[in-house]
Amino acid sequence: MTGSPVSVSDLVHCHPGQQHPIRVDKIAIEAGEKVAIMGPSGCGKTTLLSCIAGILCPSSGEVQVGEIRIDQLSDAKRRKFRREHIGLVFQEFELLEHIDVRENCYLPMWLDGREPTAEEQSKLLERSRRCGIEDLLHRKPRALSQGERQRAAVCRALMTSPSLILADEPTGSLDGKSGRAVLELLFEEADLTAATVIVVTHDSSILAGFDRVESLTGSAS
Amino acid sequence: MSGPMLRLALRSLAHHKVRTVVLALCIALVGVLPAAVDGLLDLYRARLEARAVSTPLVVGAPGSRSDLLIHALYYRGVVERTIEMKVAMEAGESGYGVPIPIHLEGSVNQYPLVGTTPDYQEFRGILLPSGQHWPQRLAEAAVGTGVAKALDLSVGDSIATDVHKLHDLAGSYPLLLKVTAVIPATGTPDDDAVFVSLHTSWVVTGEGHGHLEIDPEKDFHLVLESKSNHVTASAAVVEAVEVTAENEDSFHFHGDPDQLPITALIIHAKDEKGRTILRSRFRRQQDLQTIDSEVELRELLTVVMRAKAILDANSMLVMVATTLLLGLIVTLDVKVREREVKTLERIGAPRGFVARLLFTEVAIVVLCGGFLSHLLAIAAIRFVADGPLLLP
Repeated sequence: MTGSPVSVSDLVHCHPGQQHPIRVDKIAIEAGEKVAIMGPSGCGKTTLLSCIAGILCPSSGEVQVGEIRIDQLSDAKRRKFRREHIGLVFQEFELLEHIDVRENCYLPMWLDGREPTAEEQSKLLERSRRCGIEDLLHRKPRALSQGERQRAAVCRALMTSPSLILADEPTGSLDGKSGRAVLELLFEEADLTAATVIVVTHDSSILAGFDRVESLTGSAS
Repeated sequence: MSGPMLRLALRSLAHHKVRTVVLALCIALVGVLPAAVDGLLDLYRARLEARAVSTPLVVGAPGSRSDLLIHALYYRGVVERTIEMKVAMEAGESGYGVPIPIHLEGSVNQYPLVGTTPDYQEFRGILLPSGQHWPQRLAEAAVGTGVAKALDLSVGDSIATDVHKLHDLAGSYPLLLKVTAVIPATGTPDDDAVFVSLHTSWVVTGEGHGHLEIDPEKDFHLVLESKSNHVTASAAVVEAVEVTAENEDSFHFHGDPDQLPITALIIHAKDEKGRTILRSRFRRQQDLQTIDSEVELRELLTVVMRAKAILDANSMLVMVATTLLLGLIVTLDVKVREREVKTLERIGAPRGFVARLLFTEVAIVVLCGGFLSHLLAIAAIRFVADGPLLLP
């Protein structure tokens, strides 16, 4: 398993009701690279991440992940691509409250309409051990600490062994120590599969482990 | 619907227990009334029809046909007109069938007191346990199983008839009846009736009575009028309220026995030909009316069904209102669960997955509510089915 290179060029995205569109001229990320994206609030960091993930379709421009032009895929195909190739980590963890950690980790398979295979189940045990949540698999998210929740979210993002991991402010809701621990975990897991990692952050204290930092300047043209 | 989706839906419903239970209960309560009414009507119809089929020909006084049906088959309602006993005699003499007179006027603890002949037992196929017998002598009674349960009666016990004319200056007394049989459960109005001989029934309604012999010479203060062959006593003469070996012979009926009243006459015809002949014979008599129970019941049920249509329309409106409210709740629920929906979309839920998930949740709640409603309706129907056959 290797990471996917990501390239974005001439991207323009205008949210409904927003006067000034988000613009990103060019970003090229090599396979297996760990890149931090920084910039002031409202400059379009999350929008860029959403366009790469195929959650949003840009108004114009190109978004390529590996050999696939994400911006040219239909909505259904973007969803499928996201399920199979992209691992997403969010600032607020986004774990479903009514299912336990194990079931949250199985969500990508469930969304595919299938139960996890025996191999995937054993992978979860192995990964949960590395993430330090093996004893928490039967707990509901509300019974976990913030750090444990984010580790569970990382575990879920890695369930499909994605070639690209996208994280939006993954340390934003954590204290410094927990934040660094989660990021280390993310990098370790990404190294195991040589996955490309793109992290949106405004916290310059966590930049040490990244290969490079991309800065976005602003939305107005 | 896939297994994982069902699991997600069940987890969500279990997580929001109160909401789920309240919604299911609302649906159950909305559904239980029409379901129970439907079931009960089917049950009533089946019971009423079975009774009507087994009692095809009834003769009574002219007037309301449905009243006659209700009196003769179901022992309900207030009897206003009677026919004379001679009608039964004539039917018996014809040889075309067995006449079974029904006299319905008295009551025991509000349960109808039915005066009839022993032929009734054979006609209805009532089998009594050994040691019990159908009432033949004065003041003997066979009680339905419902009456026996309600009044805690068994063979050998005594029960008093109700007094209807408390202010009758001529005197009106209860009669003590001795239970000689408890009729096994039949699921018919027989379960909630007390059967006595015609003579007992007539005594209860004042057509006959028993009292001590009056000597006009000695008991002059009890005599209102004395003629050579007839003595009229005042109400000060206390009537016997219990039939004993000593006073049994004192019971007597005034007037012509052929003219004693009966409420209706059930004709147990030997065959179809006999029924046709008797029916046409009675139809020719101006002071009688003959009804085919099945036909009459069908007409009666048509009226009931018309009333049910109004109830059905009301139930339908309530269901539509509930469906709209359910739709509103689901819409609001989507708002409340916006974050969950967004998460599923962001991690790649297929198009329509969230809608299908919500639909699955609603379907489960509706199914549970419907199932609960069905169970409650069955319980209600069983409760009523084991109880008396309710009729207006």
